[in-house]
Amino acid sequence: MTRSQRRLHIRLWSVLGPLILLGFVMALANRPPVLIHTESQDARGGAAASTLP
Amino acid sequence: MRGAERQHQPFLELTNRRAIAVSVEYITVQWNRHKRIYDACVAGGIAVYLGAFFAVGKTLYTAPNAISDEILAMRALGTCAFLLLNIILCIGPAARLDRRFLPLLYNRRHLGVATFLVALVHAVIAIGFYHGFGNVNPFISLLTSNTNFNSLSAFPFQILGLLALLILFLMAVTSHDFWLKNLGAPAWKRLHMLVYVAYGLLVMHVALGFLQNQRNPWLVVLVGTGVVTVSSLHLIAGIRERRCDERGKRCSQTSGTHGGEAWVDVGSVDDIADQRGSTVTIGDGERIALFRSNGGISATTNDCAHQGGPLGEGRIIDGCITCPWHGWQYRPADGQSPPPFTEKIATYRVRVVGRRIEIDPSPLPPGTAVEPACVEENRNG
Repeated sequence: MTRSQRRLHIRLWSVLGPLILLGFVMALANRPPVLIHTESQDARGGAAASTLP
Repeated sequence: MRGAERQHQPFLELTNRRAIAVSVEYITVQWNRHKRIYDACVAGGIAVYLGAFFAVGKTLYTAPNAISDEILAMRALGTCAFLLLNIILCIGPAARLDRRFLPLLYNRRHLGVATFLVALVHAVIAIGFYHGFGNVNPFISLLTSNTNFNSLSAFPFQILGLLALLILFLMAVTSHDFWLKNLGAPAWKRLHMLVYVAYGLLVMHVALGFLQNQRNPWLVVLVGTGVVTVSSLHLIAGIRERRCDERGKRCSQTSGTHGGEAWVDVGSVDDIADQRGSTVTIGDGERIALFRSNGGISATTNDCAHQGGPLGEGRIIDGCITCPWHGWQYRPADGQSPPPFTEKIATYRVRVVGRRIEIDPSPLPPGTAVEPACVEENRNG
């Protein structure tokens, strides 16, 4: 690599590396709570069907 | 794909000695044994990964938690492309830190094109599966169905993946020496640095998409390890290069002048093995490659005309300086590629005083003939 490319490279990664890590951590920190599916459509449909005359 | 890995590569066997490079005329791809082995390993590795992912996925996700083949394929291809991109980005700095990684660098462009193709199939399946069953055009649906740009947890992560895919497409179509030649090495290199932006977009694509609904901590650890490894390797290699530049700057400042001319002492002839090269840094970080061949010392710029490869880390093969990255060659005496090739690199005036090598730090125009400094005469004298 030429001198200018070497300089550009280290400057780029000095910024890009921490930025990607920060974005990654922020994305994980803002994850929604886990949804626990206790009832399926089938089960609900089955229950509703059982009330039909 | 490649057009001009030519001449004599140090670790491969060139099968077509009459092959003509892009510098002479345009040829799509020149295959050789090393390339075939490299590409077979890449294709085989991808096939094994996808097959293993499918087998493990089918075993782990059984009824009632079974997932469809389309989703499994999407995940297999997506993780494969992401893994390949991590590997690609590690090869460059790893090769700068340890020469044993150089063979991986040789055909890295093929790995890049393979990554784009895997990512493309992932995108086609994803767009078809999630946006292809409505009345709206799948691409319009992709771009308009989710506009929660203010929310991290509901961010339209697919758009990040699409942008990264567009950059990878740009990389793939220009991954040929035809474009390198026409754009010029500096512009081509800068264009291909966009792959770092694509990597950032893909990390966020994964973090804001797949990882939002997955609670397996190992997935987070794996992706995080990849990001830290890629960033650290680039920074470590960059810091090492900068230290090398600064060391050379100090060294050249203390060398002084001899006889009113700006000759710079750059070391002993005994530091360079016969038919080998060495790199010295002078002035404002300018790197010069020194070569010892047939009892003579020659000096050229350290930057290969192809992709700026470190010529000083190469060696003399068939009487020519051979770049360790892609095997481009130059004659030590004048910095010109042997016929029919036309590339030229800058040369430097060099002399040997006692056992010390001195160079004039002003580069001569590319292709200028310079008589190699004779080592044996000085030893005898």
